Amino acid sequence: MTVIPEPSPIPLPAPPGLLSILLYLTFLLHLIPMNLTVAGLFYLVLSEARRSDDPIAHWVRSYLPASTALTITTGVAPLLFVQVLYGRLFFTATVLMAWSWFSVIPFLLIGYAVLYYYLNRRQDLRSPWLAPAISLVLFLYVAFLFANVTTLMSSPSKWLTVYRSDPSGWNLNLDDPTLIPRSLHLIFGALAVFGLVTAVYGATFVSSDADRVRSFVSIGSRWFVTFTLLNFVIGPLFLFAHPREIGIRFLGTDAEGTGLLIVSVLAALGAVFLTFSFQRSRSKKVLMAAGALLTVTLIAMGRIRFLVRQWMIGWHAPNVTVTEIPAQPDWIFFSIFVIALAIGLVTVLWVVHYWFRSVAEEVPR
Amino acid sequence: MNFPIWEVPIIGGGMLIGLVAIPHTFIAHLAIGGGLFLPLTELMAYRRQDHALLHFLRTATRTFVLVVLVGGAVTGVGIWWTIALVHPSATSSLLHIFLFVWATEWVAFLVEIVSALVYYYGWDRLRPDIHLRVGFIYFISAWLSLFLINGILTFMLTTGRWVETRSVWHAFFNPSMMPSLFLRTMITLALAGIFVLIKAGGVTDSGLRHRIIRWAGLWLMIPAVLMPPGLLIYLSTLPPSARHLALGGPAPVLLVLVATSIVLSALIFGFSYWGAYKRPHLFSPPLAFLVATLAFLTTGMTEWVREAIRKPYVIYGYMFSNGLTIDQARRWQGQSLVSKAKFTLAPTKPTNDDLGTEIFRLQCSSCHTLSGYNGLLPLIYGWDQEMIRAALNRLHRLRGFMPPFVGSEDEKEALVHWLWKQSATFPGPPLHNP
Repeated sequence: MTVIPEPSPIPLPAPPGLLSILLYLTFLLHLIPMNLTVAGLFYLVLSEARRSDDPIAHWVRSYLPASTALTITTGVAPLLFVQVLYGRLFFTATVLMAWSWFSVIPFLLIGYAVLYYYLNRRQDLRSPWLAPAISLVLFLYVAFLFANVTTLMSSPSKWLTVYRSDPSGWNLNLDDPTLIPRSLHLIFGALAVFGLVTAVYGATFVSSDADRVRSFVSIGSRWFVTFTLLNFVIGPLFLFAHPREIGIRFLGTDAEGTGLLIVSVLAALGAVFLTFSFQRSRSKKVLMAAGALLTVTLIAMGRIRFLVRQWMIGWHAPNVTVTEIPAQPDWIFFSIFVIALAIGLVTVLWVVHYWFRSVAEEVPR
Repeated sequence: MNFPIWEVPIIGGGMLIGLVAIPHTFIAHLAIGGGLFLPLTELMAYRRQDHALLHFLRTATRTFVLVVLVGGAVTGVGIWWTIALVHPSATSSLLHIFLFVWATEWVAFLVEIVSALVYYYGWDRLRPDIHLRVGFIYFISAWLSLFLINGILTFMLTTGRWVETRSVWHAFFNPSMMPSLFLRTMITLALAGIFVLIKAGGVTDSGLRHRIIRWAGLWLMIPAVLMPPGLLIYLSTLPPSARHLALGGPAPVLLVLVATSIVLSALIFGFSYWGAYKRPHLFSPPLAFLVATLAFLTTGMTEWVREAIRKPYVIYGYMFSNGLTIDQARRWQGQSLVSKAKFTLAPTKPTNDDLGTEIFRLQCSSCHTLSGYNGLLPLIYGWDQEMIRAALNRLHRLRGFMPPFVGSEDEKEALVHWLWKQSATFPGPPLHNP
């Protein structure tokens, strides 16, 4: 008897393929505010520790309330689709590490509250680096717990041993060789994305003062290049931490896996190259092109993530095809969702448009 | 029996859900009522050119948005986390039925968060008419979020025709959906009033303070009048057995909770009419906090009752609280439960005690602890094995809120013996032999 739970007697409300697409798209959406929040906090800790009230720190403080709120909000949707598509794996993994998983909630709450405390009381704080550091550590721990659940849910052959070793729910998935490189890869990725966004933001929106523009662009580019190059070290470690059969699929034995890896590596290298060449040309378009290439990397990496999960599950439980569960599509409610999404996005754009217009009116260029 | 079991010590899984859900319910309802109060009062203030009132609204927005964004969003996600850990099978079923309702709710949530942020940071920045529009967008999206979640929540208690048709329409527009939506909308107004009563305490200009207190008092009057008939309609839509439970039936403590929450509600509305509305000059911050505490207790009790009267089900008429569906319970009658479970702790050749512990984990632990909250040992204290066996044999007929025992005769015997052995260690009052 396999340990993987039976499919729910209630069929899936949409074909698994559609759910995978929704999962993928909403996860990509989640990446943007998540990267800006984590890396922005990291930047603030460094900047506050140096007591330098630089314009980037100021900018980070201005967007953090929104990016943190959006990280949580946009995180809900991919989690919803994961739970439907991979519920049998996901619920099992979370119950195995129940207390740790439950602790996400208080950690998030405290990290969020400390962040607001810092933003509102910054002037009165004796060590202003401490509050963002607390938020950062708590948020990183939350990310680490997600990495634990994600790896544990893809390792069904371990579950029974894990459950029996501690049925009270304090387990983590620490013996997974991919856990640390995976976490580092994501964190460095976030810092790199933050770097390029900072540079692009500086070159595009901060046009009132040449010194400010320079600091956004030079610091942002430096962060982007440094952390992307670091990821060129961590990435292979992450890849080879997987079982050999899976690792080699990205190195030639599987066309899609290999193609995606080549595309994402080349795009990242191209973005690094363009960022360097910006130092000479000073053309805004070059930075924008670097941003576009980084987006290609993120899109390809998102798909790689999906492949790794499928292959890992297949490696652990060869006879179970998790996504082939009975589906009875519910097109009416799906259409309602799509229409609501369209109306919702238009509304959000409308609100945000007025917000930026008011900001533009306030800051003379 | 699909998933591993998480035993929450001392307080049990149900209480843990309550500890997360009750604060969330309180904040989430406030988030909606406040979302109407702020732009509506802002509109009023613009029309009357009341700058002092506008200033008050600006400071109130800050607290409001902080509570809603930080507390509301995270505890909301927290409920989802907790129910999935305690009731993975039920959560999975609900997700399969309502996936796109939930996804639509997520859209409303997204709009709600973005507009809340822009409304807050947009004071003095956006043109008044735009600012107002953003405020109303916030309210509409927040209420839509309630509309959608309420359908899922009420479904768990009144599954209605879904049990036969399996139609999502029948599931969503279930019998108690509309009355519950009405009641909850009223609660949002009342909580907004209470929130403003508290915030008004910080206003130094006494004229303004009295005006705000009177206006907030009015927000409590409307629910005071409309909620009692709404409650009666709601009760009439409940399954008879659930109504029976709510009105005392086999668990008198529930009737006490229902009665207390009615008395507390009456007190809240009494304070707000004779206090806030009639004598705003006498209405002090401590009184506002008292009203807020009463409201929090009422929220807690009513949500608790709603959860309790759903027993023995987690999804009424479909799945029992321990995750077994009615169908499974019927099919597996007399068969070994441990052999059906994917995750067991018992070794291949279990002792009687291993088996007893296992059956307790699988079948009882989602609601009961051993000697903590809703503990079994106090319930069977002084019973001999014969009594425990007799109870297990007719569990579902005993008092109406227990599911049937599922498992083989050996497993039942193991549980009887194990419970009896455990109960001997329970320090209860002295027993008298006749």
